[in-house]
Amino acid sequence: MKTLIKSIWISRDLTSATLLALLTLAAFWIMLLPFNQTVQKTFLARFHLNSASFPIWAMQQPIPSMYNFENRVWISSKPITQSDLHQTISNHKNSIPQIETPATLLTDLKNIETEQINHFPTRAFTFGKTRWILKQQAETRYYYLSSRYRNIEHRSAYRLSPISDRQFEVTRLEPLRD
Amino acid sequence: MTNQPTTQEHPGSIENSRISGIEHDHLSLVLPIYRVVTLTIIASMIWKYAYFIPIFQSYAQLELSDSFFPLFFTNLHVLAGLYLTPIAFGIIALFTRSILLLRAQALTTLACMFGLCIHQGSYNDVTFVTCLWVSIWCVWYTLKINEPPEELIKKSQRFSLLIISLIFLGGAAGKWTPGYWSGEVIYEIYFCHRDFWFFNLLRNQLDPESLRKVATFYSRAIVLSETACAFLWLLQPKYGGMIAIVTLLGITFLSNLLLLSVTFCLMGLAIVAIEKPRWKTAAKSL
Repeated sequence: MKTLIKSIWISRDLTSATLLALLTLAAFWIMLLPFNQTVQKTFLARFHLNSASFPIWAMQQPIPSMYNFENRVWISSKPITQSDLHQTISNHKNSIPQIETPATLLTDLKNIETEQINHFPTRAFTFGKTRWILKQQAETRYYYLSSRYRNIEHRSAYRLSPISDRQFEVTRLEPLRD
Repeated sequence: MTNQPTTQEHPGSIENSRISGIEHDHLSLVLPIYRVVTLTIIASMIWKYAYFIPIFQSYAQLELSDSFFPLFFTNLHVLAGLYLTPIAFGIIALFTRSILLLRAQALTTLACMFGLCIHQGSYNDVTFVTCLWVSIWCVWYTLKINEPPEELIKKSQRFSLLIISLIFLGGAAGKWTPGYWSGEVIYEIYFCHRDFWFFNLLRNQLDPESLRKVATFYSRAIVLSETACAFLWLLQPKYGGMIAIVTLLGITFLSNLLLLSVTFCLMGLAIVAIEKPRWKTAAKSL
């Protein structure tokens, strides 16, 4: 590493210096995560598409964050309460380990369903086949999301409603509080 | 495309010079490494192909109107363009010797990867984050391609390991939580219901209590190995690269084969770190 920095310095290699600075900056930002609550809140808000603006969110997207945080989604066909969320987790944790369709891919939603998500819990309604599921049911769905990093938790709630046979609208709701 | 090297003479470069008794031109020494990395980016993207077809079909059936995203970054045609362009340009880069074209390819790939990282239909997919960092390496490499090969390879090996370490650091830091240390998160995501040979085997062999214990061990192994790999840059490139490949293959084959799209391009960088320059190999064989 010393050799690399020395070589960049001696040859006044601006291209390499820029790359090194970029890597250092990204690493520094990540290293702040365990120590700084503002950074934790920024990371968590990014996972919920809740950053202050799209450009601020977009700037953070190159930061690697695979399988970060404890993320959970609850899906329901009607608005639910905080106690419903706790009850669903309790039922879910007692379920028998066996191959199951993930909650986000259930076409027929009878109860409140919940699932642990690896990263970006908003993927529960934006990504992949989940849209096909929405299309099949063509009914309003409510998504309650939670991401936790140590003592900091970020919650959000979304309503997805059909506005035409080819389009759903995403509405941000007030997140549930204890 | 031209078959002639278009590189400029660089002070101290060994273009068209005699190295260890064998004639080499500059590009034939430095291009193979670049092509390996480009090939792994293409592999990453193509590995997603089987998954992306149903995704595109799903998106075509239903649009999501969300005021958070600019319209451009919700458009399905934009998504298709961002996905296909790096593959097409990558294939060109495997054959061209035009430095200008290589630079254009690297920059276009980087722009497309960033676009995929912020598009409504793909922002959550880590494939495009790892490919983005590998594309940054590619841009740097093509800009420095006229440097003396030995110096270029040494720097590129160091940067390869730094990028791999950064990716692991990003994965590890977000897992330094009680949920990952206890194994609860991994248990639910993988062990409980995931249909994959490794987890099916464990579910069939173990009772729920033992399964939960294995999940804790597995989760801690992931946290510790990713944390350790965040320091790969401290090792000799050769050893750092080898450890990276073993870890990336381990993560993939013990959790989810779709992850190959995330790890292919990183393995490309790990190969750069391991790679013994061709002129050294040639010198030994004499």
